[in-house]
Amino acid sequence: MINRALQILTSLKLTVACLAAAMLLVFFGTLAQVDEGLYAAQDRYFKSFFISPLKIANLWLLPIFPGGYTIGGILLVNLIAAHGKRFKFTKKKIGIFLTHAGLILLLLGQLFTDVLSRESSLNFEEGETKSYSIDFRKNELVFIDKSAAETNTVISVPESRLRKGATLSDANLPFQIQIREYWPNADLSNQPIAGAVSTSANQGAAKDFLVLPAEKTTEMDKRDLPCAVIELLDDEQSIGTWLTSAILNSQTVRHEGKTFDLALRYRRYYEPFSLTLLKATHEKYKGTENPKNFSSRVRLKNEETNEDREVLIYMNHPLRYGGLTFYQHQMAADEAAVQQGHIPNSTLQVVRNPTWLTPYLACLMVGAGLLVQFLTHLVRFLRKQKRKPAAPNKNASRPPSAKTKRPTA
Amino acid sequence: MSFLLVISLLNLSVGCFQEPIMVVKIPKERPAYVVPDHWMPTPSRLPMHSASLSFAVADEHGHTGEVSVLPMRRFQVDDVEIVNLWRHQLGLEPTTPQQTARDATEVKIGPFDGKLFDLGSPNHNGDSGHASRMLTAYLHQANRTWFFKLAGPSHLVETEKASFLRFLESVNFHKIQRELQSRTPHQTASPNLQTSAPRSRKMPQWEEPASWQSASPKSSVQLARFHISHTKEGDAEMTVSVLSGDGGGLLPNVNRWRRQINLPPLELESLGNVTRQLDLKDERKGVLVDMTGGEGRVLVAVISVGEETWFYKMTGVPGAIEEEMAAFTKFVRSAQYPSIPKQ
Repeated sequence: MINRALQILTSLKLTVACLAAAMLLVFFGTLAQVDEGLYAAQDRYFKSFFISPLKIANLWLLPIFPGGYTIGGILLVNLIAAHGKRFKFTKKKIGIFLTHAGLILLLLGQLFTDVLSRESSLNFEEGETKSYSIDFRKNELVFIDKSAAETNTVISVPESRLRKGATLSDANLPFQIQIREYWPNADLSNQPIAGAVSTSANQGAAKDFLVLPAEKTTEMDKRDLPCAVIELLDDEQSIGTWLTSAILNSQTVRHEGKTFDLALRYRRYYEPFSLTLLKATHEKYKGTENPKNFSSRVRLKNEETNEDREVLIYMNHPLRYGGLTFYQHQMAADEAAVQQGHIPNSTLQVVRNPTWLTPYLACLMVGAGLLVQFLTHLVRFLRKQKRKPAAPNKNASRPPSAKTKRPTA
Repeated sequence: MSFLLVISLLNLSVGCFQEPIMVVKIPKERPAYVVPDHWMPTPSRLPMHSASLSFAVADEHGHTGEVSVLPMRRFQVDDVEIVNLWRHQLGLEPTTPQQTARDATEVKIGPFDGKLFDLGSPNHNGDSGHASRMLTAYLHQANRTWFFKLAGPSHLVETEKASFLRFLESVNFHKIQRELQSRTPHQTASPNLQTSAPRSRKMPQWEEPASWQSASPKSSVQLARFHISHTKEGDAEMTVSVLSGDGGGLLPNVNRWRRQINLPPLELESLGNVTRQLDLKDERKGVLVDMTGGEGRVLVAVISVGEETWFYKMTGVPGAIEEEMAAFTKFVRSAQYPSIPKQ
């Protein structure tokens, strides 16, 4: 049984099957982006173990198909197992080992990038200080306890936990949270219009609002605005029911002498340092709307390390700090924006990718491995050539150049 | 069978994974500003400047001073002109650009570097009720200029200087802006505090000469603009603008217009040489400023209406202005302001 399993795992047929499946996955995953949007398609096809069912534009193809993690995982195991079974480490094969190790690192690096990387944005106006960035897609339900003198306590429930009927609790909250309704994308209305649904909310500023459920957006430049109706319970006694939405400002919840701000908002990632935008520069080529230069002069302040310095972030010159990379992303600081009364502001793209070096390292290893392998063969070939006994010389008096056969055209 | 089992286990493991509820302690956001307890918030002295901050300060002898914060649409003027406005308030002689540069010291206003001036008047003492000293700081931002002022008797200003500097450093522009905006709910997101006239204001009724061609205003301060190109002598331009209060005072404005036509500044006592009274139809009076310099002629009617000052300014070649003088006066006199009931 084990031998059979090992035979399958080390099989070259499995490698070919996985590569074929990967090609199909990329094909269908790319097509699916038209209907499902880039991020949803990436999640469903590439960041998953299985796709069930596999269908394109309502055309049902297969009940189940392996996702990116499954194919990548099997390929990885196959590569390692085949390597272990077929190859013995010798000096001569160091190039092959290096190449395969690079491939393994590339696969693992991609997996860790998927799991660990995070992209968010930081938008601030001149003079504004921020110590958090906002996720491009994810949202959170937060309760903020502001009772302490120096700090606020933010209790953040990820949007993935907001499922109708779910009950959530945390030691920092004096109540349980019952999710009564949840819409991943919805608008609000205070008028009874077609499609609007009323809710059971009886507390807060939005209790009389109606919800207009909407399809999840597939457009790159838009994001879903979730909406939820939550009931807060203390020992199964209802404290009240609130309608929350990413459209709304925070609302207030008072219970047992404590006050919490309640909000469903874009997910925030707090950092132990702050950035203040000192100057946003938005230059265009004269007479055109084409950007010439976007740059943000920021003050970086970290009270834990007593750092306080100014940094200039501009295109292709990001700030790398605290495991994060801050790229200049967007800008609204040109003359037109100022004329319209906007305070000059800048948006930085904030990327956390602890494994950002792995593709570079993997490519180096693969390149080095191939080079070693090639050179090894070349040297061996040249040595063989050198050792070859000279052909019998019938006419020793002829000059050496005449021995060489003249190449034909 | 085993394959299905593996699939089920994998799906189960994925399904079981739940993102945890996170608890984060974050520092409280910095307030809009920090002031000492003894600074008492007061309504702004300028009624049109509801979007300003004002604090009263006093010592144990009852001497009082004032701290004020006033954001305005960005001034396109030199530092010396701003400083001379304050010097004028203190009864001081105008200063020069060179002296202004020497007098300026750098000061931290929030995260930015602003300019600070310490202006003292020898003509007033602390008992007269007038400010005898001013600590003024300002900061230019892209679309506005912020003015911070501590004014009062000299010894009080000296006592409060450290608190004032700490206050400047504590300013959180993002928050103070929003706080001030919340005080002016009818203004736009970027309050134009100098111009008390948003574009949507009710315009005065006036009789435009048929030969004047209406044009788009060049800035938010201007409410109307006309091209005058029919005269034999050359072109002229007419603009109408309104500012709150006295619009910065007559003398600084006159000197600003003089610079535009390449004339040297005037002293206060010489102001009468370029101004004369303008009689309006409803028995009100205005001031007519008429100056000719190397770069042309400027004719300005300055009319005070309620809490505002209206400026009718015609610029151009001297001959064209002369030719249009009658039309200009007729136009200014025809204005019927919304805030004043018809006679």
